[in-house]
Amino acid sequence: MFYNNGLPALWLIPALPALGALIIFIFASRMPARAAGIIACSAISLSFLWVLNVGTTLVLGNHHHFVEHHWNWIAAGPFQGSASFYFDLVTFAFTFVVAGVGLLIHLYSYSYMKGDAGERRYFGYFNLFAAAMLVLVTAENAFFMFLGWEGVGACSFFLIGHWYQKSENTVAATKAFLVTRLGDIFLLIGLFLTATLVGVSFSQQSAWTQVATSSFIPGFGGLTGPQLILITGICFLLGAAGKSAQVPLQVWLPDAMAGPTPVSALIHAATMVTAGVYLIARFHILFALSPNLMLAVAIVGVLTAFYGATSAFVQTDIKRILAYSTISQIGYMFLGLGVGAWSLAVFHFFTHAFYKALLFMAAGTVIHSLHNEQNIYNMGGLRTKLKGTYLAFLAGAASLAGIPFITAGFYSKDAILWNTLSTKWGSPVIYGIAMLTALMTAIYSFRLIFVVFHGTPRKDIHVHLPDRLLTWPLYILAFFAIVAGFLNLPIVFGVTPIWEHSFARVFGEWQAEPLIHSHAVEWMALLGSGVLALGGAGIAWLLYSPAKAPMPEPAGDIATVENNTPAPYKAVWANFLFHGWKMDGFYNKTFVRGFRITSGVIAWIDRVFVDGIFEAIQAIVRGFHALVIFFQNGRVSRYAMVMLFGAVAIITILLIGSQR
Amino acid sequence: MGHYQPLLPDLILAMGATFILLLGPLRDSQNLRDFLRWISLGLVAATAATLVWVNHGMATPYPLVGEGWLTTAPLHTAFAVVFLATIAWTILASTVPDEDAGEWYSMLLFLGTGMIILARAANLAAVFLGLEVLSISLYILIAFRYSKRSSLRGGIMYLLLAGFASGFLLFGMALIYAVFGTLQIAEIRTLALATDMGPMAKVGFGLLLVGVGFKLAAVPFHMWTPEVYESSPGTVTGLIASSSKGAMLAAFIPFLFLLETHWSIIWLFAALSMVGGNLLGLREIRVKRILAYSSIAHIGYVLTGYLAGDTLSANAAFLPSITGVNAVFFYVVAYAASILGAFAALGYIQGERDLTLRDLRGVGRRNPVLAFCLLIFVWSLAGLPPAVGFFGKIYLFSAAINAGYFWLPLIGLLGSAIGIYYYLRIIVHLFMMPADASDPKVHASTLQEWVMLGSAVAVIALGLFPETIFSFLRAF
Amino acid sequence: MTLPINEALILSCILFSIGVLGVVVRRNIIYVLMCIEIMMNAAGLAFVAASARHGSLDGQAFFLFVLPVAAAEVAIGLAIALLIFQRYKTLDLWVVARTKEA
Repeated sequence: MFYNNGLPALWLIPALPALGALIIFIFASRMPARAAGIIACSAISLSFLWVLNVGTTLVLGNHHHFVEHHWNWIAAGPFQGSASFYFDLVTFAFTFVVAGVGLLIHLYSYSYMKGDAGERRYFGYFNLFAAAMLVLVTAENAFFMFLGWEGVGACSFFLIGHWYQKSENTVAATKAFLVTRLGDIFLLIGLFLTATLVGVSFSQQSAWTQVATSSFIPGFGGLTGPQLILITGICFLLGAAGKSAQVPLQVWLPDAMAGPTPVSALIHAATMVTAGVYLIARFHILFALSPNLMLAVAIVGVLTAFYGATSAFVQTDIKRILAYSTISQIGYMFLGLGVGAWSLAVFHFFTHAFYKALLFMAAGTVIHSLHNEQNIYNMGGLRTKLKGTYLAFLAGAASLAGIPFITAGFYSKDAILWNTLSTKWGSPVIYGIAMLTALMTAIYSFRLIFVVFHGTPRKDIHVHLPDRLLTWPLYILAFFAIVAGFLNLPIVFGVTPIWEHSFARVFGEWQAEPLIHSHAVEWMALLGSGVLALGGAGIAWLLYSPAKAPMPEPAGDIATVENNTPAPYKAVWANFLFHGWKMDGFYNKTFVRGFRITSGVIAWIDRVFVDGIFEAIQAIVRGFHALVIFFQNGRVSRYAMVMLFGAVAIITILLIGSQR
Repeated sequence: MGHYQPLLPDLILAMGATFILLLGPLRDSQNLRDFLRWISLGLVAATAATLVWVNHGMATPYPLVGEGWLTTAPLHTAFAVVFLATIAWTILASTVPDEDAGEWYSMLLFLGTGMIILARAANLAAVFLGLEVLSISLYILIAFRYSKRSSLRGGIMYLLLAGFASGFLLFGMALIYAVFGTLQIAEIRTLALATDMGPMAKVGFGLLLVGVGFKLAAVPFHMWTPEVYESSPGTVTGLIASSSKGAMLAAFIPFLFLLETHWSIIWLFAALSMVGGNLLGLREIRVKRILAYSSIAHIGYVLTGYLAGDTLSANAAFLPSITGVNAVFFYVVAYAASILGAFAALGYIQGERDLTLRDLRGVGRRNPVLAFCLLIFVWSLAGLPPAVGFFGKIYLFSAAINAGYFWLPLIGLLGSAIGIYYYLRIIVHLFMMPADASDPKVHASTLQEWVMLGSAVAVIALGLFPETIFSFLRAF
Repeated sequence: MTLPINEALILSCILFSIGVLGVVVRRNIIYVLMCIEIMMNAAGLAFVAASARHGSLDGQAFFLFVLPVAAAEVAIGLAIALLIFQRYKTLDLWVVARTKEA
C-alpha cells in the first residue's frame, strides 16, 4: 500500500492533505476552531515528509521517473485518462515547493488566522488546495492533471472570497475564477487535440515529433501537422496564461489579493500561478517543435515581465506591489520556457517560490502588526520595531532584485537572461527588454524596503508584535531565498551547474544549448545584470530614501475592480501604470460591454420568442392539470367510474384490434 | 415434503406471522414490542435464507413446484428476496404504539407472504391468492391508525377500489380459463401463441390488465393513489409504492407474451402514466401527494422498460446486454431504495394536518441528518446522477430504444424534465426556505436515523456501482 | 345432467355487469361491498361453468380459493365500515370524502 515493489507510493502525496480536508469538513462543527489548523498542518507536513522520501529515492536511485497506475478514470476512444501518478525531477521540484513552502505557510496561517470566524473553512480549503495542486503536479496524464487544475481554481475562488461578507472580495474571487476559466477553455481544446493526436499520457508526448513531420492528418480538415502543433500550442499557451496571470489574461491577479495574505503567498505567488509554467514544461516537446510557438511564449513572457514591473513601480498597496511583481517574475519564467531553457524556468520557479512566499508572508506580518494597514505610505520606520521581519524582507527583496552573487534570485534570473541572449530561440531585443525589466525590478524592490522599513513612522500606529509562528517561517524561507541559488552556479564559475545537469535527464535533447561559448561574454552578461540590480537599488535610494521628501502623498486606496479609485498621482503616465495599464478599463469597455450588448440582444430574443413558447407550454400543462385534477375529488364511485371507462377503453382497443 | 419443499419459505413466513399475531396481545410493553420486532426480522431473514436455499440449483426455466403453483426461476426468486428486504427495512424503520405491535408486525409479515407468492406465481390461482393476501394485509396497514378519520377513509377507499379491480382481474381470469382450459400461465402462453386469439380471450386479458393496472396505479387506474398515500403511515406508503407494485411487476413477467397482442395497451399505460403523473404533481403542495403522483410517473418509466421484453435485441444500440426485464428489476430495486426512505422520512415529520411543503421548512436545520437523507432519496427519485435512480432510468430507456421504441423514451425524458421541478421544490423547502414561526416536529429514534442513513448511503453507493444489482441478480 | 355452459357464461357476464354498475352508482359502503361480492361471485360462476366445459376441476378449485378471500375482504371492509360509522356518523362515501378533518 505504501510501497510498490520497494518504491514509495505516490498517491499518498495528494491523499494526505485531501484526507485532512475531508476530516476538517466533516467534523467542522464538532471541533474547536484551532483543531482545524492543527489537522491541516499535520496533513501537509506528513505529505511533505513523503515527498522528501519519494524524491530522495528518485534522486539517489538515479531513476528517470516513477509511474503508478491506479484505475481507469475516463476511457472513451482516444480519451484515456487514468488515475495514475508520475514523478520525475520536475515533479519533485514542484511537489517540494507545494508541500514544503505550503507547510511553512500552513504554520504561518495557524497564527495569522487565529480568531478568524471562518478558521475551519479556511484550513479545510487550504488543505484541499494543497491536495489539488499536488494532483496537478503528480498526475501522469493531462486529463488527471486537469482535475487538479480545476481543483486549484475552485479553491483559489473560495479562498480569495474568504471574507465574503465584503462584496469587493466576492467580486474579486469571481473575476479571478472567470478569467482563469477563459484560459481553461482553451486549455481543454488543447487537451482534446492532444488526446486525439498523440494521447494525453506524458510518456506519449514524444509522438509529437511524428505529428510535426506529417503533412496530412485525417479528421482535421486538411490541417498539416505543424499547423496543428501551432494551434494546440497556442491553446496551451492561453490556458497557461490564464492560470499564471500572463498577458493578456493577467488582470485577475492584483484583485486576487483580496484574500487573506497567506492565501496570496501560497496560491497567488508560490504555487498555483506557476501551474502554467508546469504545463508548458510538461509539454516542452510540443513547444520545441515549433519556433513560432517558442517565440510566442517568449514574447508573452517578456511583455508580462515588463508589464508587471512597470505596474509594480507605482503601486501604493504593499500586496499589489507584490502581486504585480509576481506577474512580472512569472513572465521571466515564461521567457525562460520560450527560449528553451526549460530547466532554468523550473529553477526560477523554485527560487521565486521561496523569496516571493517570503515577501508575502513578511508583508502579512507587517500588515498584521499594523492592524490591517496596507498602504506603504502609511508605514515607515518599521526597521527597528520589526527587526526580524525587516531582515527577512530584506533577504527576499534582495533576491527579487537579483543582488549579485549572494541571492538565489540573481542566479536563477541571470541564467534565464543569459539563455535569452545566447540560445537559438533567444534574441537581443528580448534580452534588452528583459534587462530593462530587471533594472525596474531592483528599483521597486528597494522602494518597498526604503518606504516601509526606513525613515520615521508616517502615522502613529501602535505596532503589535508578531508571535513566533509569524516570524520563524520567514527565517527559514529567507535562508532558502539566499542559498537555493547555489544549486545552479553558472558554468563560468568553473563548477558544474547541478540543477541544469540533473534536469538534462528530463529535458534531454530539447534543452537549448548556448550558441555563444565565450566565457568573456558570459562574464560580461553576468556582471551586467549584477550591476543593474545594484544600480536599481541605488536609484531607489536616490528616489525614496528617507532623507528625501516622501513621494507624492497618494490619497487613494487600492484600485478596485471597476477602476473607480481616484488616481493617486498627478502624472497621467503614473496613473496609467497604477491601474495596470488601464487593462481593466479596456476590457470593460470592449469585452464586458460587448458581452453585455450581445447578451441584451439574446435576452430580448429569449424573452419574446423562447419564453413565449415556454409560456404556451406552461399554459397547456396547466390546462391539463386542471382537467385531470377535476376528477381527483375523493369520491370512490367517481374513481370507480374512471376505472370503468379505462376498462371499456382497453377492451374497445383490443377488440378493434391493433396487431403490431 | 420433497416436492413441496419449495413452499417452505411461504409457510415459514405465514406461520410466523400467525404466531406473532397471537403473541401480540400478551402484554403492552416496550420490551414485548422490541422482542416482536427482532423476531419478525429474524423470520424475514429465515424466509429469505430458505428461499435461496430451496431454489439453489433448481434454476431451469420456469420449473413448477407444488403442483404448478410457484416458479423457481432465478429472476423471480431475486425479486422475492428484494421484497423481503423491503419488509425487513420497514420493520426497522416503522414506529408503532406498544399495544399494536403484534398486529403491526404480523400484518407486515403477511404482506411479505403475499408478495413472495405473487412474485413467484406460475398459476392464475397463485396470482390471485398472492395478490389478495397482499391486498388484505394492506387494507389493515393503511387503516392502521384507525383513530384518525383520514386513515379510515384511505383504508376504505383502497379496499373498495382494490376489491373492484380484483373483480375485474378475477373475471378476466375466468374468461381466460374458459378459453384455454388451464390455469398454468406457461400452458396458456403456449396455447395463446399457437393460435389467433379470439375476442373472449382478448377481453379476458384486457380485464386482467385492469387489475394489474390498478395495482400498479397506471393511468387511468391511478385515482386512488393520492388519498391512500396521504392517509397511510409513512412506511406503509413506501411499501405500497415500492414492493407491492414490484410484486405485481414480477408476477406480470410470465405474461410478457401478451406484448405480441396487447403491447398498445401497455404503451398507453406507460405514456399516460408518465405524462399524467408528472403533470398532476406540478401544483400540489402536499408532499406525500407529490410523491404519489411521482410514483405514477415512475410506473410509466417501468412499463416503458417492460415493453422491451425479456429478450435481447440483435441490433441494440445502447447497453445491449441489458434486457427490458433486467432493467425493470434494476429499477424496482433502485426505486424501492429511494421511495421507502423518502416516505419513511416524511412519516417522521409532523405536519399541521396533511404534510405540506411548508411543513418541511426548517427541517434541514433542525434535523440535518434526516433532511440530508431525504435530499438524497428525492435526488434519486428525480433521476439525477450519481444516485441510483439515474441509472435505473438509463437502463429502462435504453432497453426500450433497443427494442425499437422511440416516442416512449422521449415522452419519458420530457416527463422527467417536468418532474424535476417538483422534486426540487421539496429540496428547496427543506433547505432554503426560512422556517415558519413554529419549528417542525421530527420524531425519529436513533435506530431509525441510522436506518435512513444506511439507505441514503446505499442509494449513492448503488449509483456509483450500478453493476452490483446485476451481479446480485446473477447470483441466483 | 349437462350444464348449459354458454348460458351460464352469459349469466355470469350479466351478474358481473350488475356488480360493476352497482359499485359505480352506489354511495353506501355496505352496498358497494355487496356489489364487489357480486362481481367476485360472477367470476366464480364463470369458473365453475368453464370448469365443466373443459372437464377439469381446476376452475372449481379456484372458486374454493375465491370464497375465503372474498369473505376476508368483506370482513375487513365491514370492520372499517363500522369504525367509519362511529367517526363520521354516516356510511355515505360522498359525505366521507367531503368531510375535512383530523
